[in-house]
Amino acid sequence: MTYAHGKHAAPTTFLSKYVFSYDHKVIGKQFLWYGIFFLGIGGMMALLIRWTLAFPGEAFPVLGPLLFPYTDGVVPPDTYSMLFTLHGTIMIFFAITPILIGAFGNYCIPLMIGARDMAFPLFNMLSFHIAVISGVLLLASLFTPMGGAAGGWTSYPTLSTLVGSPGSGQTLWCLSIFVLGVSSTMGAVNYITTVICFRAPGMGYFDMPLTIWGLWLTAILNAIFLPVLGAGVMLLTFDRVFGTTFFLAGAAATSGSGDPILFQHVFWIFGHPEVYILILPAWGMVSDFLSFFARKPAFGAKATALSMTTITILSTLVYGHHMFTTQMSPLLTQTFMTLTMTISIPSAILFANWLGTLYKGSIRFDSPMLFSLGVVFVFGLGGLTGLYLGTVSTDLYLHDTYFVVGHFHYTMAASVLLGGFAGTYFWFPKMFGRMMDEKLAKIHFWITMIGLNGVFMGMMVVGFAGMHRRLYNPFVYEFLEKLIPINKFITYSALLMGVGQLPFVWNFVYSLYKGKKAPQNPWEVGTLEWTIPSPPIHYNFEEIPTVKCGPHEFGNPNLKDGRDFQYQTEELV
Amino acid sequence: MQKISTQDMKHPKEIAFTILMVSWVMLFASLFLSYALLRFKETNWPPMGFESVSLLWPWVSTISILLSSYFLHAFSKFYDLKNIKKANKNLVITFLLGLVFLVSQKMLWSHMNEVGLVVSSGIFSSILHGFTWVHAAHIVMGLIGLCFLRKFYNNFGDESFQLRIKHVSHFWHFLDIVWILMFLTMFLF
Repeated sequence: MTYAHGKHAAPTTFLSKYVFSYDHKVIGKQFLWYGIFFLGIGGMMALLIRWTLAFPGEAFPVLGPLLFPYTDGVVPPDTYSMLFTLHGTIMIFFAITPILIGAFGNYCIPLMIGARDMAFPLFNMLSFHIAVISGVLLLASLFTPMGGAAGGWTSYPTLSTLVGSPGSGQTLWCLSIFVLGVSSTMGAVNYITTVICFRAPGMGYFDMPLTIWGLWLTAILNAIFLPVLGAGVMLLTFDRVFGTTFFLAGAAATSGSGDPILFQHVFWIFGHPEVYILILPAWGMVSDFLSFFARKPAFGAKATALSMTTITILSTLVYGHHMFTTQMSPLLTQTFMTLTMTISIPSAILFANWLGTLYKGSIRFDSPMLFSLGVVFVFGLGGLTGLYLGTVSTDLYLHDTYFVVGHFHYTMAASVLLGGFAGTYFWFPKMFGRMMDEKLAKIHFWITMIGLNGVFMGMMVVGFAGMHRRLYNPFVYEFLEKLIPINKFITYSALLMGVGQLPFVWNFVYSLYKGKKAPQNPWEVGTLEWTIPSPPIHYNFEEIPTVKCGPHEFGNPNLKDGRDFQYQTEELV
Repeated sequence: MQKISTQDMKHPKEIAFTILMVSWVMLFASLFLSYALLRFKETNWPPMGFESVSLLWPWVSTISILLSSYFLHAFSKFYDLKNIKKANKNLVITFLLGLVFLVSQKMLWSHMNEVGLVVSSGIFSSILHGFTWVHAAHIVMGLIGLCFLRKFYNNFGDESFQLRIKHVSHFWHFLDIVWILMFLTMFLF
């Protein structure tokens, strides 16, 4: 028994084609624009934060006087808290999630598994429009009388309760996150169902490209753990709006006592899987790209898929390592530490497989490959520094310092950003039918790579020296004064990285209209999306393909006609 | 090469519904986890010298939702037998019992407010109010779902309608189970 996809005719009007589209390719692009828009806002916020830390009390050049006229362009302390809160929130929920999961998930899943659309196109469209509502709620919070949320992206009570942040900014933040959770859950339901039901005939789970594995596992984690965050922010909203006391204790509660730590439990039960929600799509893509551009079968592809699955499962059991300093029982901290360390095993397998794929490959240094190699490097660093934070004794010292900030930016920001760029360069020809400029892409890569390592390595150094995160002006403490020069270095690196994005923006916009026409298969890769024209026709496949081999069949000596790869629709030679 | 067997493959809607149910289970599980943590922190329960709530309205809720589950089950049985009259009767009764449940919840909230357990009077009333709100909001969703079944007599033997009945009923029974758990842990013991 086979099931037909939700049918929809080719759209004709502007609204049905670009705004209320059922087409997964259009929805993917909508998410891409949405994500890039917020990436820009979040990036600007990062620069404001960095400026304040390097030049405390000095006006932010050019934009400062416009944004903060009452302080002559200096970022005020309360605005500073708002900036780092919203920088985190925007980057995680409104930039990475839409780009990696929303854009690539929507665009790639049906194309790579040989389906004509998602399982539930209407659901898919609603998922995007609900995400827009959530973005509007978040941006609206900036214009409330007391400003946006300022309790950190983790929004721990009591910082996030009415005691710590009065005004409606934080309430709108909670609503926005809740609404976004609904949107992402809807997307996740669609992704999981599509992968299970609509793989092309012949495509077993282990014949799926690893990109799909990453996106699929991410969707599973999303469906399971977003409701937990939903419950947390819902109770927080009740506290703020209706006067319940779930997270209020002691003098903060008028009577009875809730528990601020409870929110941390709920938040991190979601929050730790969230880390993997963000990184798994990037892992999947990188695992594929390394094989595609090393012109070799992915080393141990099955083991890679299984270790990603193992990490997915383990990620649900380790949340306590975010809470070592909450006076947890030592018995529990030891347990969580041990469980955390076990994640190293599948991670090491994954990493070794990446290196195994590269070993003796005939590597092509095209831009997607450069960015993938960048991911291998920064993720390696990020993963290793995680060991210090997963160990109780070192975490007690490093907790809440810039070491943590450096670590999670290496894993979540740097790896995912580079992975996202790799994906953009790789699928741009398929999405828009034009090639991006390789030279600009390489300039973009090197500036970004140097910039981000300067920023995040610098952060780990100042963190190790004891600089705490979230301080408006850390240099009021004498022992931190000697860190001003290195903070300036970090800020200059951040500015460099910011400037480095200009070639990308130019390249993207220019190539969209004037880029070289893309051939059907510019990278010479055998997965299903490259068997159809660029950009794909409405409904993707005229005939649903039959899959006969895996996605990484490169360098087979039996291949004829000078080709070193074969399509998944061809019988293994 | 691995071949996909499509023989015993479930309908995409069934898979999607299963995933959605997992999400809902996690939502309520988080609430129960929060409740457990808050409750075990206290030496006495109810804390702060509050008295337990009168069980009258919670019992009414429990009985009405249990009966509604029974009648909903009867509805799908009579739908399978294509007995329009009996199926219709059972569906209407299910819906009315759902309304009774909502009314009893409203009475429970009024009663709690009368005895001083207003929303803002501490953690005990926070839990009672907050969790019953969330559950009642889902009951409203369930009632809307029941409305989507009203044209069953035009759709005998239609696979997609059968799935709709199955999913609405599963959702309704799920809410029934959640309420029973709430009743046992929050009101009875």
